[in-house]
Amino acid sequence: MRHWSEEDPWEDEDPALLVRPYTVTGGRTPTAHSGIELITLISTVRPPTRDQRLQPEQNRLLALCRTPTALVEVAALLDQPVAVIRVLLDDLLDNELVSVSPPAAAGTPDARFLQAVIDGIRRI
Amino acid sequence: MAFAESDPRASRSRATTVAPNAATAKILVAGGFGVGKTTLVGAISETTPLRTEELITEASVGIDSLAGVEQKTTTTVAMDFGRITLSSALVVYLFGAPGQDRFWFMWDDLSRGALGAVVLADTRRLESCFPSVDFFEHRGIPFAVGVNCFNGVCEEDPEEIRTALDLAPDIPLVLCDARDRESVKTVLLALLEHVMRGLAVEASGDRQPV
Repeated sequence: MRHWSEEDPWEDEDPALLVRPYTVTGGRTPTAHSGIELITLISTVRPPTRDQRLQPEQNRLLALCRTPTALVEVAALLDQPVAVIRVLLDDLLDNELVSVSPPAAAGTPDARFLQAVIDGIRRI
Repeated sequence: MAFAESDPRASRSRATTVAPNAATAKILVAGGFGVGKTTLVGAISETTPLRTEELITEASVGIDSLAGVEQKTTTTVAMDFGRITLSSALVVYLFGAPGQDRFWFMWDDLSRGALGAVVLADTRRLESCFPSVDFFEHRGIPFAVGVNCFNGVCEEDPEEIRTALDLAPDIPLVLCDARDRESVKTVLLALLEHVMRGLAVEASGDRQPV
């Protein structure tokens, strides 16, 4: 894991960084699966079968999400914009290789949930 | 879902294994450039704050002058964020993002589903947090103001700051040190308790069963 302040995009010789963002997604833009937010947790369900050809970034995503990881963290750790990760996720969800955490209830939070956050923060 | 099973050992290293269906919550940290948003996130996050850069199309960027640029362009907006794993069933994410006017469209996205926001203020440049205060007031998003007093010393009178920001009396205003974990906890708790009071008022107003 790399701290953002250590980043120097021009120092990195990884040619992937010189690729336009949507090249990674084959030019596709998001997204068939709605309800996935920045803090939705993504979890790997199973490894791909041999005939499932995945992009290298999708394989990295599957490796990373063996520990449930939020969309925004996946984006940061794979050095891709969130929008690109959403596209990569579409295939993985279609093939049931990953699952996503249920979306939070819309509108105001309920008191029980809020109290759990308050208690948790008091305790840390 | 057993939110209450917070594990006291779940500290900075994320010793707790998070369940795939864990609930996640989002708290925003806003304020002017250089006020210490990322410092605040880092003080309480179990990870070093991470940064993600979002692609924004030209049309969304407001009044940036792109004179001479003929085709559609994208620009990037950076967000810093951190994570607090409260239990295997509950994870809180803190997002710090730029408070300049031209990025408000991003805040609309970011604030959807957020529990609330901390507006971080610097007494030397109090005006730099005005846009953030305006934004959350107008959108009806609950917020608390944290006055970042470096070295824990603040020579200003909190009531004067409250007046200068024209804050409603119920908005929490807390002096803090954005580098200090306990201090940051105090600010977050002030915000969350404010949100809770708002829920109670709403519930009693609507005569909904609690």
